[in-house]
Amino acid sequence: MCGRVYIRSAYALMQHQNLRPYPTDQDLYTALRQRDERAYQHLYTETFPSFRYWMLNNSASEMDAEDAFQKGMLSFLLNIETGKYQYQPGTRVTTVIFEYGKRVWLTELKSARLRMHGAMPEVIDVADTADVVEDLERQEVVNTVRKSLGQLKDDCRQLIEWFYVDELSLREIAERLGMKESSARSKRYSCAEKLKAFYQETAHRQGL
Amino acid sequence: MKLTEEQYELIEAYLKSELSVSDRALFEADMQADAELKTEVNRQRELRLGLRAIGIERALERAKAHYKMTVPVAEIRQPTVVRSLPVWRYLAIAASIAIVLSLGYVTYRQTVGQRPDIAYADTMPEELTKGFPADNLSPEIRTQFMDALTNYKAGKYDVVIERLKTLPADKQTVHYKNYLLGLSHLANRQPAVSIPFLSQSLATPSVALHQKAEWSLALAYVKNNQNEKALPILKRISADRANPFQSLAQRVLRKIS
Repeated sequence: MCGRVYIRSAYALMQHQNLRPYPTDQDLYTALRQRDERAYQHLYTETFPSFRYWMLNNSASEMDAEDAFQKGMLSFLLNIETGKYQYQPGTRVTTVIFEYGKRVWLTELKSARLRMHGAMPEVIDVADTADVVEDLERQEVVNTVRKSLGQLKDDCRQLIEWFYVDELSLREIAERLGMKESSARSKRYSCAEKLKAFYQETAHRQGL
Repeated sequence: MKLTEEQYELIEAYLKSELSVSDRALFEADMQADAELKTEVNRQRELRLGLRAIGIERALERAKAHYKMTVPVAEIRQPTVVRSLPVWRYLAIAASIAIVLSLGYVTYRQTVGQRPDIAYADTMPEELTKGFPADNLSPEIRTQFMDALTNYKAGKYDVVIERLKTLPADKQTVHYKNYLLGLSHLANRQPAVSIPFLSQSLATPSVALHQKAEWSLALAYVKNNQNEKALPILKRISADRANPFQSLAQRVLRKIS
């Protein structure tokens, strides 16, 4: 506990003193892989101001900028999770994040303009279609999981969120629930099966 | 296929890369031979990915909140912005956000009978009503907005409605005016009166205002005992990750379904 407080304070101090908390992009990439939330904060501080500036100069509002940045970050971080994005020496992580956000916005701009005017200037047509389709499909999976999670009873939903979303260990969950670890493990299994049943039902309805 | 607990644990271990090299090879051979097992593994992989995405989204929201807390307002509102919205729109947006949050708080309590602790408490900081831009906005309009907001916060909804009536209603302001009127009637326990105003405000070209108006309209329907009309709206919001009212809509949906 003390160690964690110390590390956070040290990070805050480094930020305050304008020192780089991640000396190399490899360090930053590793922190992102390890799901270090301070790395997320770092990306916001380093990338969002310039991204926001670019967005405001490209037909976007403040809310659009925040939204596209969040979506781009999510897409990038999920690609790290699944191994689709691997660290590339010589490539700045912040530059990649910027490009992901840009792609999100240009895709949205394109679809909005197509809906309204039926055509799009060539310069804006830069998004990789295959990637976009893949992202959309993944987004559908995420939405379906979210919907299925909402169908679970409170006790099951809480347990599943603790384990898979908040990444608590079974021991920590067992302590919270006042039960043995083996019982928490069995409950996780039965809740996961219920979640799967809801997921299958919803996915089937949606033709996923 | 209904998995046994052992099968479930084995798939989990495989997906988390916790199997030894030889066990992994055996498991993959089993998958090749058993299409049903392969389907189960893919299902579990999708579920894990979806749940992980939810975790990342929440972490990103925390990072964004942290960024907004630590970066000085002046830095966020740097003067390098080339294209900006008319000032009245900033004011109206800020006012409407503040109002919808306050209203949401009240309505949520009235609607679903749940403690308001998690409904809106951490959605937005209390600073929303501060720092209204003053340039290019006529002092008269600004005063009317501020008065409306002050009265709204004081619970004087009748006064708010009277003040809003005097706001200019040209092509640009009419949607905001309808929206704010709808909100005020809703807060004034007149959901039936609020519904036409909120419905009209849906015609706005602004995505942000449309989202707020739609969410408020759903609440108005719930308050007016028209759940059948609220349900499709709430379901639509609940399914839209980009909608800022998604989680709130999911909660209300759970309560009324």
